[in-house]
Amino acid sequence: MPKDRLLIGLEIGTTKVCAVVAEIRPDGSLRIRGVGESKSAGIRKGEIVDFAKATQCVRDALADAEEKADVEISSVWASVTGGHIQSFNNRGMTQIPQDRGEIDEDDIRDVENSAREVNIPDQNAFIHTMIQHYFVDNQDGVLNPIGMLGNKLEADFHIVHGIKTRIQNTLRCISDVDVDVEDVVLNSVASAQVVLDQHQKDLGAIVMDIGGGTTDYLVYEGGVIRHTGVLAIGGDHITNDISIGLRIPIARAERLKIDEGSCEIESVMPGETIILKNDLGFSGCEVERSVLNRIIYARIRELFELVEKDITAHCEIHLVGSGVVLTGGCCQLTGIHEVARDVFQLPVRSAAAQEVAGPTSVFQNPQYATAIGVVKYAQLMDVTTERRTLFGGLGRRIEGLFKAFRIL
Amino acid sequence: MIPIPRSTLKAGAEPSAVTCIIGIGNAGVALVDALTLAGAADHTRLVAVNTDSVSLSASVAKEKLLIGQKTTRGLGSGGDPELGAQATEEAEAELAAVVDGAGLVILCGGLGGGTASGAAPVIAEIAARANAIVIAVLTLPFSFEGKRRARQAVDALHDISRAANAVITFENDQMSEIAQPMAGLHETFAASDQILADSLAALLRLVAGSGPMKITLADLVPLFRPGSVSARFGTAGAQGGNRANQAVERALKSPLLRDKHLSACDHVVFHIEASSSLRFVEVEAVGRALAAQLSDTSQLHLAVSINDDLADTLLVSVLAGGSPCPREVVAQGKQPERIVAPSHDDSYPEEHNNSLPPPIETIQQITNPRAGDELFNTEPFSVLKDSPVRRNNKPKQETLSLDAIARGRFEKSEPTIVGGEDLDVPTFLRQKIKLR
Repeated sequence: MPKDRLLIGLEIGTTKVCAVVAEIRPDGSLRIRGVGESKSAGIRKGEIVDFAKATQCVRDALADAEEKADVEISSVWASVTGGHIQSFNNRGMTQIPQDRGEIDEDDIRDVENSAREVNIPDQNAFIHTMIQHYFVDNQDGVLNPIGMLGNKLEADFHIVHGIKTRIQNTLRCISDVDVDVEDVVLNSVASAQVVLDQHQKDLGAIVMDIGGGTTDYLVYEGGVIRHTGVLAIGGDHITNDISIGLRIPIARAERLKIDEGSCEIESVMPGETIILKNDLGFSGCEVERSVLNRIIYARIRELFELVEKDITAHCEIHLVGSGVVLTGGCCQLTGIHEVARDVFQLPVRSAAAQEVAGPTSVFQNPQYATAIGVVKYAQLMDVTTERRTLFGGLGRRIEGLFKAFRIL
Repeated sequence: MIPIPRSTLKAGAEPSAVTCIIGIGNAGVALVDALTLAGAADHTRLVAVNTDSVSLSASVAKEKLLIGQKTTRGLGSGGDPELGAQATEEAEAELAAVVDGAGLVILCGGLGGGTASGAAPVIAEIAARANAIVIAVLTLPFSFEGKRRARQAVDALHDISRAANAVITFENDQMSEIAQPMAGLHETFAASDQILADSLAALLRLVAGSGPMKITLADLVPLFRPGSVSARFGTAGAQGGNRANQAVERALKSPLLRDKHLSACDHVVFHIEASSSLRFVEVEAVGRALAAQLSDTSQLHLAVSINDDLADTLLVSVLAGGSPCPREVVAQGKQPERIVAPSHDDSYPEEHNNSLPPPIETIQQITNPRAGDELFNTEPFSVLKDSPVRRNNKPKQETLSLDAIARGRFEKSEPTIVGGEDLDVPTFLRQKIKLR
């Protein structure tokens, strides 16, 4: 691996577009060189609704990153999200030819293809096919079957798919500013790479990235991704609820949420008020803290309940040993842990990026977890790809796979 | 411009001709059962025809006909179309009696096995000889069922297309596009049956519509003139302010029509059905949306029916024909020829020309717009957007006022709907939490 290898992670979020430039040190650790950021426009619920505006945001964020990290960006790894993204688990199976008996790269590819032979809607495309377990002749828990002897190779995969054109729109935003997209990664998969360490993945964990427009969640069990999901609800909804409930403009509601937002409803003193100063076009008013908190509490609790319901439908929630990890901008709300603990009945903590070096302000801020996670994911994939390329032509295959996304 | 053939503008009460739906083989019998249970039998003759006495005795159809008592002894055809055909010839007299006097005979079944593949061509001939318009609605086997069944299906399709006026096929493989990944087997088959049932019901509506702009059976004939064997068919419904555009878009996306180019068809019939709230601009919008899909030379026939049972729903059905079958027949280089065919109005008996079955109200039950919406729409969100669950949540007045303000900044974005609830509406409003 070249010494000065750079990886750029790009998150096109509902609130901000964020590009993280990181270098991989010779020892394999990551160091953040710089973070470029711009406020999002033309993006709702993680999806592009105004192409021109969104492209401009991407351009600004990348230019900012180039300036701060003092590099020239030619390709990025991008995270994707959106309520249209769905996932399921499936098992693939392939027979090893009698004359060979030894499992090789082709069989791995065959088993992956066979797992993907599931009918997804016509308009959808696969985003991830992530390996969970291999089984060689019903032998459980095989980590790497290459070189093993066997007649039958089976594998469980977690498959993520979404509407092709919407993912392509995200990619076009990036290619329009003359930057290549190496690959896409699901938001929650990226976030999990930095907020969880291997031990926590093995123990089992739920990661919830509550962003501006979407909540991306993921369940690790026994070191593998068991379930992923996207719910198009995020901080914007809280702001909107506040704006409607208190009858104040959206911009004021947003500031009120950031400054005073809390979902504690029991510890509030009766009659406590917050004074909103007058502003241009806003005459100022007083709001009761209990009202504000109730609005936020109702939304956050509902969000957790929806996610919990979905996760219990797909996984054994009691197997999640290390609890719930919250990240994303919304996890900074006061009292959010108590609500999550109440709903999930599991230990809850907030986390930002771990195991990276660089300016502390960056990796300790949960808002950047996804973009840093993208880089971390890229590093993992890069290593895998390179190792596989040594074995066979798999690197080329992966490349071919993502060409399918490009519309160039 | 929407060309409107003069004949569609005929008015006045007409004596009813019987529409007869014949389900052939196990799949056909199942479909007839579904239609019977949905209550369609009141105005239509539903006949179950099979070689298998067990399947037939389990059927709820009012009229049942066991064919090939000598050939198969009621044990089924065992996947052999030859046996199916022999069995049918044996029962020719009974079948002739069944189709006697019917203006429209709709054959349905699943090709690939023995009974439908063998019997359908023969029954189609018998019906055509009885001067009925014959429309076959058939499913083709899954590709994993093997090449032999596929070939039997293609051969049968070719034979049927010689006698039938129209063949509407549905490939089972397409089910994948309708059912969700990992959907249960039962759901997947139910979805497939639902499509066939919807198609049939829409077809019946088309010929039974009460006007003001009608399509008679005779108008359908040029659609399926010799050489055209593969009809394309789509139907869908929508509600709300933009219902016309939504309905036509869904109809074009519906499984039997998707990925097929309407521009290759030179005759297209479209049928709009709505309550008396139907506005001219809506008809115009549907026509314009369809015209955009057509080539300059193709002819568009318009039918409009008013059905006050529909409330807010607008149903659009599109039936296109006149082009050669894209797959099988062309591949074999054979041009199907028609043996008996009422191929144009003049040769068609007068009583049929003016005859129409009575309007079929009960059909609404099986094509209720809810089922149609969910089935034909590939957009998970918009399906739910129109789903009655949400509409029925609150009294109408309240919903209106909520929609106007409560969605706030999300008003223009795609709603986030989980379990029928629009989550963009503030939680405290939906859960009716008292803030003060």
